[in-house]
Amino acid sequence: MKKLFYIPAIFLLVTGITLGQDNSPSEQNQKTANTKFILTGFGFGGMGIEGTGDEQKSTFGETGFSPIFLWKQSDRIFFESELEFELKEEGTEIGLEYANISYIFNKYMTLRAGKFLSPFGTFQERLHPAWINKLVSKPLGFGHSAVGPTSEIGFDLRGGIPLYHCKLNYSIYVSNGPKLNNGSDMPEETGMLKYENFIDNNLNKAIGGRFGLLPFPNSSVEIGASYQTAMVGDKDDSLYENIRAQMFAVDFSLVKGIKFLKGIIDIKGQFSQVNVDKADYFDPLDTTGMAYTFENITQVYYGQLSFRPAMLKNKLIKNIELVGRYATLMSPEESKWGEEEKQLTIGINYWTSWRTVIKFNYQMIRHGHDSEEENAFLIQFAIGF
Amino acid sequence: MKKLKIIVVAGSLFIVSAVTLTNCVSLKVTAKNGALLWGDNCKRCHNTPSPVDFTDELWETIGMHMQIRANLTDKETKKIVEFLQSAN
Repeated sequence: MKKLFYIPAIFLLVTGITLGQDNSPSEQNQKTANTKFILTGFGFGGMGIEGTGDEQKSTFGETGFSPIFLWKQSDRIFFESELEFELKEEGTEIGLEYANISYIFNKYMTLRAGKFLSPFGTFQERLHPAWINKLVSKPLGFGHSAVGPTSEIGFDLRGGIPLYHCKLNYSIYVSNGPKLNNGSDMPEETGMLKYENFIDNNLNKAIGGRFGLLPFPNSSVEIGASYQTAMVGDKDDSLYENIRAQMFAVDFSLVKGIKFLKGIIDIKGQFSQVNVDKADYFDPLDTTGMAYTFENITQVYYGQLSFRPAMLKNKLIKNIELVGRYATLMSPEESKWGEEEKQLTIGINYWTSWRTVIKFNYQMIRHGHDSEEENAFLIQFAIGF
Repeated sequence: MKKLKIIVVAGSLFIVSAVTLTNCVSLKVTAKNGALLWGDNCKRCHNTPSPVDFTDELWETIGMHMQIRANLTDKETKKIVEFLQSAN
């Protein structure tokens, strides 16, 4: 019944605003010229056969749609937002991946405010979309339960600076930062950092940044270093409010056409480490009430190599790409979530256009030293639009 | 697994050295035209886009998006957008 009221009310409001505007053709053209809006994004679908030994499962799934809204309001003001729709077992999951406004101060400095992809490393900010990521899966520790932040809510100052033969780029941000799981919620993840800190859990703000250097004029190589520091305990929680997390990352990228190989080589890698101050934690299931502690250091790295013979004349072969990636995640051994995981993924991609790809991957994951290897065969069809 | 690691590290070092040597003869960034910059920069993250896939107006918006996201310099962005607009 309420809907019946809202629909005509919205219609009247929109009509009123529209009629109230001066619709002279010259002004309309001016508005169209100033405001440039684009709906872009990416989508993907696929299937996987995965499991260990006899425990195999095979399912279609891994379907997602991420519309991206870009709005250039003027030469200085820009808005970007990405929504994320993904099929999960419980149903369709909707998320706001990012939404932020940028103001370009000058050639070398842009300020962003809102929720933005974290400039900590490069995978999350530049390489995670399904049509850009060369493999179906993300490297260990770079997915949604990531080691290091995936997004930030705050302010980010960034830019690119030419330096004769080189280029520099930077990003310095202030954000809510991560929060510490002190064990009161999900005791099996005690001591782990949670990065989705939408309402800051304390008065402290995280400070972080990344500096990138492109030493060659053809921009084929980029070396980056990132750092973030933040207090992560809840405000007024005397046991944990002074616990600090420091994290750093180094990343590397090399993309280069090699004439004698008649193709493009793409090498990417990132190493991230998260250090959380040592603290005493309590297990709610431990009736003795004894505290336990551990060195809270988590490390993750991946290295990826791909080759596409894009300079060949044969249309079929030039669109084929070979990819391999190795990733390792080492979380604190004495924690309840600590283990060492290794992931090796190899794949063949076929590009039907510059932004449409079909990926065929074989992946092996080993958890710890004694566990059985988890194998998966994954297929994904991804499109950027 | 150890052998694989050694192969990957050795291979990477070889490629890095080869690329370093071949890069030394490249033009400086400010002397490059839009087509060269388009070829150099887009492929750092994704395949180079086809100029015909978007209109002039959309390239302007996409250019601004990439300037902010990929930290392209102001001059690079302008030259790349001008090239894409002229080639579509």
